[in-house]
Amino acid sequence: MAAALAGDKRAYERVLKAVSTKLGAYLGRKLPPKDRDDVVQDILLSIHKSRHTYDNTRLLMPWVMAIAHYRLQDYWRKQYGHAFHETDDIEEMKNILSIDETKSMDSREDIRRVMVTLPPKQREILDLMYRQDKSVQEVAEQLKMTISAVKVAAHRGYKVFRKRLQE
Amino acid sequence: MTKIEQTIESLVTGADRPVSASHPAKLFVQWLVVTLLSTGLIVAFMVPRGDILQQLTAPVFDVEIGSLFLMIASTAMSAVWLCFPDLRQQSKIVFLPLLFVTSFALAGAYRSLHPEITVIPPPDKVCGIDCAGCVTLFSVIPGFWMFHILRRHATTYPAAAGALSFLAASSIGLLVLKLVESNDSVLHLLQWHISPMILLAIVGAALGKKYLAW
Repeated sequence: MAAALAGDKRAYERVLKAVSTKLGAYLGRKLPPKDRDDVVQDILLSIHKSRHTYDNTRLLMPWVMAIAHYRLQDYWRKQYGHAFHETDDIEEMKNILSIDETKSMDSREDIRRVMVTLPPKQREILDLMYRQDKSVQEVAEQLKMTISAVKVAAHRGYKVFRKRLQE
Repeated sequence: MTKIEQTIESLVTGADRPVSASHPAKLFVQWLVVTLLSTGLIVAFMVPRGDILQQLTAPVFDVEIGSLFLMIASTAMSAVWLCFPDLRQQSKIVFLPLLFVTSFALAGAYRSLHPEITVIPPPDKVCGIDCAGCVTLFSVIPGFWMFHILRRHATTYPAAAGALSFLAASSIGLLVLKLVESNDSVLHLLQWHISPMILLAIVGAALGKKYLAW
């Protein structure tokens, strides 16, 4: 790492590769496989961003692991945050979208009218998730998006949907 | 090529030689010297308490002043070490302030058990909200300066770093008031000097969480 900080790009590449291998093994025990690479990339970016704070006279791995734990906390925070919103939204969305056939035509018309105003991507995601009852993973596979991107788009779409429905 | 390999390649391509961060001891000494010099000037301008020479011969007062000075130094030191993700692998430094907070608390407890050594002015000369305002005012510049130092680095404990920055800064207000105000009442200290410090530390933690996260 000393050579890398002195400007040796090959040394820097070797350090990052060695670190990513160790992180991959470490995170493999803590994260689902689908998210592991994303978190490793996040940590590598953080290492790059904060490399000026590394002290050459000290061990590298404790410094790397401190950053890894910090990013891992971020990851868990985001996961729990999404899970929380998702549960809320799905419950509410199910109540709104699966309207009983006996209910007035006006409500269904309102939903259709608001759905049309949503951006195409959000509309498609909401339609797949709540009308066709597909899981987040299925939607992600179908639309070739990551799971977290689907969750974020669905959440945003839902917020816009709710706001417009109340207007 | 995997996504990770692509990331590594792009990082390596764009990697210039970074300017290494200063040693935390250097950052700490800079902050402490400038802060204490400016505080000394302000105390001289504000006129120290009338019985300062007499008080300086009292061991409890000396313990309080010494504890406060060491509290400022140790909290600032902790905050500076928190600038580094791994705390420069010297994590024990972060707990140093506890020692001096305890010694200050013990001096306060001794004072409350021995009212004869405690100077309490007549009620019409007791300040209240002014003291809290003074503690807050003294904290602003040193607190935000420490924040600025922290932002240039990479703390992995943003809330703790924010809280310690403002604790260090507000301890300066406490030291100034101790040297200027002729009121050693423990209740007064708790209500108008320590409470604002705790509030400022909470504000610092909230600001740290928001602005020191990276």
